[in-house]
Amino acid sequence: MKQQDFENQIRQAFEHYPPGMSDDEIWDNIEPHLKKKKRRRWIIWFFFGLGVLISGIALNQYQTSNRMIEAPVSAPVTPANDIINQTAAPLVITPEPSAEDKPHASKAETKDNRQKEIFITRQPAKPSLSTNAPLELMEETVPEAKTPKFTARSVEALSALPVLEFNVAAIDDQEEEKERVLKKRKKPTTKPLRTQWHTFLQPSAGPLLAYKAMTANSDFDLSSYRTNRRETEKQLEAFSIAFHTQVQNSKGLLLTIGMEYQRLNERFDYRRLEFDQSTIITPITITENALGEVIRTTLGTVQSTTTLEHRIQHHNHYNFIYVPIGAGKIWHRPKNSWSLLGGVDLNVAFQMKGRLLNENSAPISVENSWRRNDVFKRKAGTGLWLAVGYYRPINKQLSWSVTPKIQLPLNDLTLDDYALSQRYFRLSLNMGVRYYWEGE
Amino acid sequence: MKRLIRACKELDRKAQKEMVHHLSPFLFSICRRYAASHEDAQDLLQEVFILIFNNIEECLATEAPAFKAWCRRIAINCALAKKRKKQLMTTNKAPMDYQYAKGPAIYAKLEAEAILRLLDKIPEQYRMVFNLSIIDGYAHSEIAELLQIKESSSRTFLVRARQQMQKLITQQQQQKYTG
Repeated sequence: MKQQDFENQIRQAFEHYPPGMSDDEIWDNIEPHLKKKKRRRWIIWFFFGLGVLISGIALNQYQTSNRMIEAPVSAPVTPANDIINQTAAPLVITPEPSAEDKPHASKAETKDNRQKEIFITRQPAKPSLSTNAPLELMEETVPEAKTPKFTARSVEALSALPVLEFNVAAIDDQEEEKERVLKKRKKPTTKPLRTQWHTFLQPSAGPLLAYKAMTANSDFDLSSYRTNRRETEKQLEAFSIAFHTQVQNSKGLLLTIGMEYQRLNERFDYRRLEFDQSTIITPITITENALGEVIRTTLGTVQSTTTLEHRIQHHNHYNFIYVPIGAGKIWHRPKNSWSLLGGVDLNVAFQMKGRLLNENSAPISVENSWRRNDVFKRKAGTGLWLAVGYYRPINKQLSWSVTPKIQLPLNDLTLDDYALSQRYFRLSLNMGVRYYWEGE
Repeated sequence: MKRLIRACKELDRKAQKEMVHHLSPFLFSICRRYAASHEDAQDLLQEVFILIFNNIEECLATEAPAFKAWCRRIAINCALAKKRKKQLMTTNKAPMDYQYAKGPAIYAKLEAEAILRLLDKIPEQYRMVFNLSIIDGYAHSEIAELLQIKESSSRTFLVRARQQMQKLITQQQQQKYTG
């Protein structure tokens, strides 16, 4: 009881113990070492990459639609070259939307329709073969119609006329003529078309080889510690799973961003022998009679050595998640394509779970959480990577891909005050497919 | 306190400063027990605060007691890591001869400084085990893991630490009466 009181008293004595320096003094010393507001650099890079990707796709969409309507609008129309107005009227019996649906050319929706709408503004409304709308209504919606008035009261009546077949056949000639005129109208000084970007999605996976580099973090000679760690940690299988999005232009420029998970497995194999010498009392002489019966036993002391082997086997796991961002070039050959890409790896998560030897050669369990933060950092930092890509087409949209990749870490995995600086240089061989994504 | 913890998680400098004001006596009492001197304890306290603020987003505690427990754990881990790094932990000190102290005198009211002076006199490893077990309430299995010793050694060290503390207190009391 008294013992308890004494210990309680000690506990109470230490409840609050003034540090002997002012709070301001403590604050001034710690403030420079505190984290600033999170900058979330990887998010910035991720969204930058995503922005580049979206811009590429948007640009692609914009150009393909712009290219179709740019030229005709800019061309001056003269009575001499206005062949459309002269010839179009009797020939246009294409299955266009009805006048109710599209009364004006400005409501164009598709690329092809837009081209046709240009002519529609110069043409009278056409009878539609697909609806039963009365012809009079269509003539009213376009007041400056130049076409001769139809006397037929319904589409059925019109479709019965044999002249239709002749008109349909003439459309091809008419279209060709229009194209020639449009080419003439197109000014040579109009802006050149911008580069077109294509998007590819590339899931892949493959084996990984990692070289563990360990250097001393302090001035002490830690070669024996390093050797001990190397001897107790053997690398097992390692693999990588990746998903990349690439945009590529017609000149072969390639931009990529993705997400990559890597796992390195190691076996921790610790063995320690303990020798224990002791003196034991044991029979040293045994006397037997003629019948083989023991008649006398002499006991004596002998030195005995007991060897005790301590062995710990454990699997260590290193998990990494990276956001690789890079750029490069692709070369197309008749049967395949090759690319060379390089960039930075931004680590978004790193976890190590397992066992290691400490500096006193004793096994300790390690996990890079706040609870056990004396060896590994919680983020693996940044790195550089260089990859070669080989693509072999399967069909129009899909190709096989093989991508050997080297990764060079720029930061250590270990904390600055840990005895060794540890990092992994990696070589991976990812295999997968590359899918050409056409978008909408 | 809840608001303060939340603000610290958002890396609000004002809140962090306020937290320093709140926690420094509590944490210093831990640091002082594990450090070899008052100056070392002050250095340790600063390191502990840096660790706490830089890792606070991982703390799930929102209430004051749980948060204090988390801070205590960080302080102890930090102190032990520092000890390991500096290789201050020595096991070579032979335990002192002791006698069982008796009598009510030893349970006289003790000041923190006086206890610290006594704690400084016992071997380092005994002191660690005494601190972890008696004052911080760790179990022997946890102490064994933290100090990388056997659980049975932890028990032995604690018994010896208690005995030595009692002996030292008795000596102190005797000196007081005779001198």
